[in-house]
Amino acid sequence: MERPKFLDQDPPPGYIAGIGRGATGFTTRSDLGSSALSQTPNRYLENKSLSTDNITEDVYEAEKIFSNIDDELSTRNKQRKNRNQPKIKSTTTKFIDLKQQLTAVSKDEWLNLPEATDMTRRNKRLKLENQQQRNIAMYNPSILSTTNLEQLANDREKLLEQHIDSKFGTILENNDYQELLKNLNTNSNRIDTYDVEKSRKVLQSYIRSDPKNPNGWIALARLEEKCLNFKMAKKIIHQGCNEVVYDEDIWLENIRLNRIDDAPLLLKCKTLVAQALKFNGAKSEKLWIKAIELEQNAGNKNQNTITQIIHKALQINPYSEELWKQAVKYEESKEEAIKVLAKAIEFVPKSVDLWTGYIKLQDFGPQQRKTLANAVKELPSSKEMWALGCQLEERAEKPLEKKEESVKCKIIQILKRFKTPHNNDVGYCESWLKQAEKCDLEKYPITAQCIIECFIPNNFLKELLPKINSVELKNFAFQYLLLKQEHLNDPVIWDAYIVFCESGNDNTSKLAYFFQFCELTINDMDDDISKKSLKILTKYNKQDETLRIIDKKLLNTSEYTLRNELQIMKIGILISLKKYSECKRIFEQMIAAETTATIFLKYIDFLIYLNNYEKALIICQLAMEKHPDEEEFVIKMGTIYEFMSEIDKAKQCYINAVSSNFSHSISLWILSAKHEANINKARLLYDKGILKNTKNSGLLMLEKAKREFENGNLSEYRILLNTALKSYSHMPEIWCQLLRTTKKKNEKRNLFQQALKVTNTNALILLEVAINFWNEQQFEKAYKWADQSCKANKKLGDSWIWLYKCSVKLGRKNTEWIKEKVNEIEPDSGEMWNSRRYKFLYSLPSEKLVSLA
Amino acid sequence: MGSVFLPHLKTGWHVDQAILHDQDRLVVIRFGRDHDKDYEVPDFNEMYELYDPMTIMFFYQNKHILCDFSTGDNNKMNFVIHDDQEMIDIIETIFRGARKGKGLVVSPYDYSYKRKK
Repeated sequence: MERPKFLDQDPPPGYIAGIGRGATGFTTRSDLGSSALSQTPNRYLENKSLSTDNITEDVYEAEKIFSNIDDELSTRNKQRKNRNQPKIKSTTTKFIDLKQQLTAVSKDEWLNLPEATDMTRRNKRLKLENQQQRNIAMYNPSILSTTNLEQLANDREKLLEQHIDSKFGTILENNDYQELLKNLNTNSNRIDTYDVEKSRKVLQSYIRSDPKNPNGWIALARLEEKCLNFKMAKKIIHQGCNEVVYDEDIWLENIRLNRIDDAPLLLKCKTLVAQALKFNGAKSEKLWIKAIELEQNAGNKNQNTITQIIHKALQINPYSEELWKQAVKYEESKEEAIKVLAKAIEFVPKSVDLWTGYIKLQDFGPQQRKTLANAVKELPSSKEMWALGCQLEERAEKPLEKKEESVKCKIIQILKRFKTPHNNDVGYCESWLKQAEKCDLEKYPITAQCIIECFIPNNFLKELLPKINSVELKNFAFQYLLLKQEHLNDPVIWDAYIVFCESGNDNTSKLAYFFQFCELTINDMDDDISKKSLKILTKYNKQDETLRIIDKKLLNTSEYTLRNELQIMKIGILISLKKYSECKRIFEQMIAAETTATIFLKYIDFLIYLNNYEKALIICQLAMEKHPDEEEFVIKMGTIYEFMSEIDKAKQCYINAVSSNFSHSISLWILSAKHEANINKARLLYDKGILKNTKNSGLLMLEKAKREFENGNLSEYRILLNTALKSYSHMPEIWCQLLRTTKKKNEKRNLFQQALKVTNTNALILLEVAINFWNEQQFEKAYKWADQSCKANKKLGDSWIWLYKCSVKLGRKNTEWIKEKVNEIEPDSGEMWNSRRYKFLYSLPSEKLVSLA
Repeated sequence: MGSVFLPHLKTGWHVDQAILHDQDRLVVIRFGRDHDKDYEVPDFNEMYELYDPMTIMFFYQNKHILCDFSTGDNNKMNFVIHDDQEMIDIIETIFRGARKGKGLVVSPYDYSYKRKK
């Protein structure tokens, strides 16, 4: 570091230290310092003079002895402490390595280190402080009494007025007027007189400061009009017109104001227009158009006056596109119009609208093509012209009844000649898309499709899809995209397409397109998408078509699981058509081949559904041979016996299973004990089951407790339930049972809280709360809790049943959404839901819901 | 004698110049002499209430920065610290506080007990 220069300089003579930098000492006088000894208090000195030397010596000696003792004691304690504890490093030595790394810290990082502050109960302190401040502000009477708000507002108003008068003379901007006008417009609903008065003053000062600005006049006139002061408004605008003669806007405003009460004043308007045109005629096309409009409104049957006006206007303004358009509009005969357009194009060759009109008016034929060629020459990058060309082509091909493909080829060839400016961004593609939609609207679908194919790359099309409005075109775009190799199995596009097909009230045509498309592409789809689309097909009751498509897919699939799934889907459709024999045939086929347990289960279910128990038993035995580890089959067999009302056989079947190789199956233990009529034997079975499955015997304990409850053995029941709860506190089923059998209201509420907490707000508990409210006749609350339960576990059928029950009870009109939701979700669990499983095996979940509720 | 590495300020004017000289660094001034009870530059004795054998004061951009050592005197440091790392920490803390525009900085260490001993 450089040595500062001042170190080697001499101080200026007579310098007083500190003055040079404005130092005056400390702002706080904090202490007297340790050298205060020199300024010993007087009292001590007095004592000293009084005292003898002996006494002081004694005192010193005593102090010495005591301090020695103190020292001894403190060192002894320290030594003992040091002996007992390992030496603790001081913080400074402890973090020495970390400190060394601090050299690498940048300036900013260093500055941004957080400050060490008091963090204890920080939030509470802040809150208290905040509250205190607020209280002070609220109760402080000095703030309220001293300020007269009204006075303040008035003063400000006066100041503002002065300000406006003085300032706006120099700075005048159009924006100010527009702002003011806008404010007036937005407030048009409720006109506050105070506001009006204020605005009027402001506008008047505007006009005073710059009378040649038309905006001020217009604004003031509109303000008067808002206040329904039409006379005043007219007067003001008239003044304005006299002041600012060379402005079309103010004249237009004048005409508009005069036309408010219509017919009788038309004449006046006409004179006004004539006046205005006298001043502004050469440049204002708006005024000319206004004049034409007025003439037409006057009910003038004589077209000549209008055409005369137009001709005059065009003489002065030959390059105005708008005027030419008017001219064409008022031309009666087609030939004349074409002539006018031909002329117009000479003057305004860059106008797309004029060219389009010209070409469209011409008869179909070589002349039209020639015009088109000219137009394209003039406007080589106009998309409209190219689209028009394609449309002509499409129209030319139509009567020949050629195939769509060949027409398409021709149009695409035309479009390929269009020189793309190579700025392939989304905006550019979107403008083409608009063209395509326009063509589609004008009934040229092939042109529209070709435009999409030629100009919009796939990735952009994907983005732009939601912007297409036309149904046909959108459908085409989806299919076009999906047919591309890289998108066929893109689930995002498929989902969007499906949503599109399902949307709208009348979606039959869209669905028809969808079916056709599915049939076309089913063999190229991957598994997930084909399953999804088939599901959609079945949803809309198109069984025949769906069967056809499934068969087509089956022919081309050799993969095992997919085949199985397709078969099952097919069986589902066949069952809904009640073609049971066909189903049986397919099942037999599938079983004959090597097959999974699920197929067996489905077949058995199917047979039970048809009440064909003997056959079901046979299949069950077959399945057990093939899949000896599957407990489901044992349960199925038992169920079949139950249906055949051979309870003994069912019981025997369960007990056999449990005592052989299904000793780990909780459900089998429960079933076997349930079918045991003798309470003692049942107890034995439960205990055995619990012994064999010590780890997860919660349900078994619960069932045992229930059995005791049924037998009226209440004390035993309580003990069992409590032990179950102790070791399986997370099981909602046990809590439910406990809640159901608790009578006292208070106790119940506590239990509910506890249960919800322990089971992490399980849906079953929520439902139990709902049922509890239902029993107490509080249906509104019950509905809410059932709804919560549905949200917590969508697959739980019981909560849906209760939700439906509650909404019916409450007289809610709209219960359809519940049914729809249930159909969509297809719940599968719940005691009540599965209670009559076989009856509703093949019906819609919503039907099941209604009948169970 | 002052330190070998640190410059020795001969008069009150030099002290003032030193305080004014640096705009982006903390100025640490140590009043006193090792061998003498009297201050070498007595000009500030009254203004800064200097009556200890040694006093250290901190300045940043000609502003006297106070530091709370829990000794009761926030204006200056009139005791000796035997650990050099501690001193470095204190100076760092004061510098950081001063950079943030604070007039009073809380020392990272508490000297109320140490001084009593």
